[in-house]
Amino acid sequence: MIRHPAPSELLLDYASGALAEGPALLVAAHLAYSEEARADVATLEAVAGAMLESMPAESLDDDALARTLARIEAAPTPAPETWSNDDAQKIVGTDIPAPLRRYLPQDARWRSALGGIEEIELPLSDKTYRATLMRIGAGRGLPMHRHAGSEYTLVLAGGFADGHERFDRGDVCIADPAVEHKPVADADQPCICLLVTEAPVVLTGLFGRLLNPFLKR
Amino acid sequence: MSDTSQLTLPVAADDSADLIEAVARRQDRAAFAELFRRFAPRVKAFVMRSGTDADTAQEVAQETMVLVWRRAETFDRSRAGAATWIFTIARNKRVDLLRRATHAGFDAEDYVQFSTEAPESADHAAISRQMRERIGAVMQHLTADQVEVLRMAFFQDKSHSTIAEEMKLPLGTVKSRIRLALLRLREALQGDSL
Repeated sequence: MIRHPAPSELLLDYASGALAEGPALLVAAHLAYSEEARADVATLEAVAGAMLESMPAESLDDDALARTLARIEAAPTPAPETWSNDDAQKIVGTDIPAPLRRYLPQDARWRSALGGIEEIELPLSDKTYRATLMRIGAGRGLPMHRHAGSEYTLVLAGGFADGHERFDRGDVCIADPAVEHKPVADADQPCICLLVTEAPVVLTGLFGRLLNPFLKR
Repeated sequence: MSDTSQLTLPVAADDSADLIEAVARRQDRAAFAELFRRFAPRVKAFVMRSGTDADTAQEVAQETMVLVWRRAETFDRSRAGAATWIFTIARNKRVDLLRRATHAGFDAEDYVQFSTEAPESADHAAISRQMRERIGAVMQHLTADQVEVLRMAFFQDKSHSTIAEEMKLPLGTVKSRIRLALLRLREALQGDSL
């Protein structure tokens, strides 16, 4: 059972297409774990389908159908190659849903980042967000940090505790700019997450302030 | 420009699903032309509601229909109605063409591998699937406030925070309208199946 599903407003923003690429990727991956969220998105999409059906038609150019058929004749752009589930699992250390595999770069490997964590960047075309897979060692915590913008986390393996709340595989954790938090991975296994951040994270505390100049992107 | 009056007939129940299947099975051009007549003008109108100019909206409509042809084989009427399926393609095209980004899609196969949920919720989803085609009737269970939020989201391509700003409402109010709308839709869909 998913204890921390994506909130309804995030599902609506995803269903309408208004959600930016980064958080939309997180929602798409979350849907693999949560039947309830999938049912809600399908319901919202059905609402939109009904609205589309009831639209008064807008006239098209007379040759629109002919032009569309001509495009269909042209060879389709081949779909880019994506990772198989097994190959992605070998690199990442856990199985990851298909939407994430499509963003996993060909040369993906874990790289050390600050604070004893490792990360793999998932390049987005919309640069207002940054998406990374993050691995925190068993029992380790992230440095205390705050956010200049929103931060979305989806647990892919293991779990972490953040103050009073626990987050397990499939759970979504949303931290807004006002929140200062310190997630700690479970003691028995590393925690692998998808992290989507809106703007550079602001480290707090003495060590964080010293490191912060190097984190600017 | 052609006369639109012939295009405003309501789209019949789900014989559009039959047309998509005809395109998938035998690349039926007459079926595709009929789908084009039904949906391309509506997709164009839908996209124009968000303030997009007519040429760009027509481009979204044409590119949507190209994908309707190419992806017809992936259409599964047990999962979504024809209009819903075409909406999702148009939505992704709108993101693709207007924002030059990708709208990450969900893979149905993933569920088997990743889900950890109780079977009851899967039953609930099966109920919803059957009833979703009656969504228009079910929407009458929503309040005017809730419908307004959904209309702004889908017709105007606005996020819940933009909706809150424009309606001059606290963010929490918009969030609870969305949550309550979903709750009512869920209840109504389940109630209808009894």
